[in-house]
Amino acid sequence: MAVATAPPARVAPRHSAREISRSRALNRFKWSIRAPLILLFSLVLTPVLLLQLYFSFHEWTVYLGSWWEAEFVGIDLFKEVLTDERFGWAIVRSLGFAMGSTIGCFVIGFALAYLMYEPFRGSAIYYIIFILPMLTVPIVVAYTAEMLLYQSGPVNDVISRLLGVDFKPAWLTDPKVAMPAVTLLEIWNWTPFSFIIMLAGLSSIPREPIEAAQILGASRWRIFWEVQLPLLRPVILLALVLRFLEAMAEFPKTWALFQGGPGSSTETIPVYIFLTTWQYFQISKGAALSYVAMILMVVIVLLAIQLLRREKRALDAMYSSKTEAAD
Amino acid sequence: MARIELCDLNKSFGSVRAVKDINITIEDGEFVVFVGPSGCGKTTTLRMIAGFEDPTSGEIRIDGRIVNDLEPRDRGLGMVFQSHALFPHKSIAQNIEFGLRMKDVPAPERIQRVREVAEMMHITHLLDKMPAQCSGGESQRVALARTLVTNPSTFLLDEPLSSLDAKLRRELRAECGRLQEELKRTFIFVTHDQEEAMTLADRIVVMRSGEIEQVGSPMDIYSEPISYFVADFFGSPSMNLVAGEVVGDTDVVRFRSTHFDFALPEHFKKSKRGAATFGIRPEHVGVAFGGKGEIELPVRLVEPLGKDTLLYFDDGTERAFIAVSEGLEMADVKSGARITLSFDPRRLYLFDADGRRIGAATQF
Repeated sequence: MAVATAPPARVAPRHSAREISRSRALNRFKWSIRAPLILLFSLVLTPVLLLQLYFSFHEWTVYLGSWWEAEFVGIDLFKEVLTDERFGWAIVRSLGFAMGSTIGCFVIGFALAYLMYEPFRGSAIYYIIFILPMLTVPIVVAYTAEMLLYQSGPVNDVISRLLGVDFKPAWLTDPKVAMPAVTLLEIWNWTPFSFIIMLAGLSSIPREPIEAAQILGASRWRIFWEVQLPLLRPVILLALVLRFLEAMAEFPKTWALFQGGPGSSTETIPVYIFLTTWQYFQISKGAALSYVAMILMVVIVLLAIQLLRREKRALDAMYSSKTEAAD
Repeated sequence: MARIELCDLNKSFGSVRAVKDINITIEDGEFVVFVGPSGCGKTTTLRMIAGFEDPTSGEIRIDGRIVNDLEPRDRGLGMVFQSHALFPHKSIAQNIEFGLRMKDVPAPERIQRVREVAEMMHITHLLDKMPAQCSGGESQRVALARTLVTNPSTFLLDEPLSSLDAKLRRELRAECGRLQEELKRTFIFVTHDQEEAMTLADRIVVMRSGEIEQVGSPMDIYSEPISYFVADFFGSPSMNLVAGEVVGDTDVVRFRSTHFDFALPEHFKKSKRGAATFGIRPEHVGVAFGGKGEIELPVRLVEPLGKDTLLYFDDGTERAFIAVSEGLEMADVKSGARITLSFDPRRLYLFDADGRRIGAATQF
């Protein structure tokens, strides 16, 4: 390979008519995508965010006159929120829930994808079955679960019969079990998502390196560990990040089943914000909570983007075109 | 040491029969090239030997042992792929080392053997690089080294050179030949390039739509093609083939096409009369101005190549009738000039309507 020498100083390029018209078309295309987003953002999101910002600096609840006459309290509300132990626990719970369900979804989804990626007779049927949970509306998942999970309900009954011993966890009323129960439901609901991503990832790995490994004497396990897994890294990361972000915002199932209870055992961030705002009618505190939660999420998202970018760069380097190196 | 036998090998994909009743024995240390156009089943055959495809019926034996049910890794073979198939996330050294690691060879020995093989393939300077940093030719050398290091009894090469440019291809072709001579291992090489087959093979297996068309040494295949297909496939420029018919009574036998008509040599006397294709290689066509010869055709195009000159004649078909003349003697011939052509009688081929060779037995 030739050692790259300093490129010759470029003379200011003269743009041909074709280049100009091309860059114009490109610009037009860019704006045609950007414009609706900016419009939507400025019409819908900005007023909401501004209003919320207003509320987080003014003490107002629905019992106190008109909102525009609310008293300015500076950063008092943020102080309150940041010292609120319940909110702290909500964050911990959300993080725990998101991690648990993400890992659960990933492990099961990946395992199913691994079983499915080589086509076999009837695989389409399995595919449909594995996808179904994702197509079920979360609120339906919650209500169905409620019917199945009560203490003397069918799930406990079936498990008891299978095990031959009494198996009677109070899924819906025991504060220790409630959060794991939602986590399991989340896993059931969203495993298909990880499954689809991992299936796509597995099928996109070129066949030859795997065959090369096979004939070089690698067992299935070694091939998985040494060839498939490293090549799947970016996809795995994507599956984990997307699932984690979604799980952080999970609300319908947690709310429909528990409304934060028993006690405060299922108070995740969204549930706690909802409770504060619409059950206790502390609109201002709710707004401040939302802001803090939003900043937390923005930080997580930025980290995730950073991570994904790094993976993409590594991937690009791995598959960079051979012709470049050929000279 | 490996002797590979394919017995009544068949492979179907759904209703498509990709490989039909292949029977061949590849001797130990032999360099066999499977050649044929795309879709002729040569790669499928190789993949069955490797163990990536299960034969629909038939047996594959390595040293007498049936290996149909053995996993690829238990067959003791090495394979080089068209796409190189290097592990993109491993360095070149790790790539080469992979097979040894899978066989639990201790680390010091691995390092030693990787170094030896790298030296043999002239790639020591690449060992610390990543596959993406290597050129196509370098990648293929690495792929060869990676196979070489595991010391397989047989090398399977699936169009290993077809993704390279012409110069590299020649270079690596020579490399493959050299390796086989040094290692004395069995090589099974798949290609669609007749030139690769001619230069590398001890024995060529010509395949056509799933079947073996002809097996033989490169010279056999070249000078004794058993069919129109083989005759047409080998040689560059390819053989002149002109459709027409064999006519005449018991004493005289002639070949007649729309543009010419000439007497066939003695040994075709007993050949069946009727539709046939006449063939002769460009180098066996003699050209002379107004000389003695069988036919006279107008020149369409002259291509002086330096060492020799190619003359394209108009024979009434789309495909030009080509003659090779040594040196630049004929380089100044104008197109349209009529030239007399003579045919080396021993190098004349006739194929019947089904494309089978006529009168081959009496040839020599």
